[in-house]
Amino acid sequence: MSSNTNGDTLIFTKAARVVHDEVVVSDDVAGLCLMPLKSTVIPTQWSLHGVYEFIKSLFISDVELLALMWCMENAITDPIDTSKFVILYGGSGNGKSTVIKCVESAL
Amino acid sequence: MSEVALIAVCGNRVVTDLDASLSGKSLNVSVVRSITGQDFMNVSQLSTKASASILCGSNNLPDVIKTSDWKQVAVVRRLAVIPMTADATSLCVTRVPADKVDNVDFAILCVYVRSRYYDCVIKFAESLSRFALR
Repeated sequence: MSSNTNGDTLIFTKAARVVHDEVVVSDDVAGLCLMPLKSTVIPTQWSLHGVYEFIKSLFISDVELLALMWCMENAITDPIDTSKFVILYGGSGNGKSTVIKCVESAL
Repeated sequence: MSEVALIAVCGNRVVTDLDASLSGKSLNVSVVRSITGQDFMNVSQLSTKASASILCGSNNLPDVIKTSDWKQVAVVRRLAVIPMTADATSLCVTRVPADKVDNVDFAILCVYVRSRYYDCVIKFAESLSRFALR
């Protein structure tokens, strides 16, 4: 907070804005605020390592991996309502067993 | 179905098979339908509901010409065929991560995927299985 005392009078001076967004707040009020007046950035991404990154490299696109994860969620939460029969289809050396072992260890 | 298979299906949430033989008539469609349909099964004088999802890897898909039951809507709805065409032998990292935190991360991510993509992903997988079984 930027303020000067001149005798008995408290005088506010211009302060640098704390919140840089479209919220219309006077500089004096913004300088007094300890908390942000408006949150504009919500973290939506985070770095994932380990099993996810390892399995991801074995799939053609993310959609196939998402479908597998969608089905495997059934084993985690209650109630069990949609059991699925998931077939990983491919030739030898395509990582089917590796994916299954990863899912087994993760669940 | 044998007693051991019944216990496995009714007592677990995921049943895996690394190399299932799906060609010919080796797999009974009605068994798949009863497991995924959560039918009641008799296990050692008790009637319990099958609760397992089945995850299996296979080099071939069921022969739908010989066994047309695979084309039934009720079966296709419960089926998800996921093609694997990546070259796993060229992976630079071959060791499966075994960290507990990573495993929990993956499990939580599965829950997130289910809540985020409520229905669209599995519909895509079903359409994929329709295409593969055509």
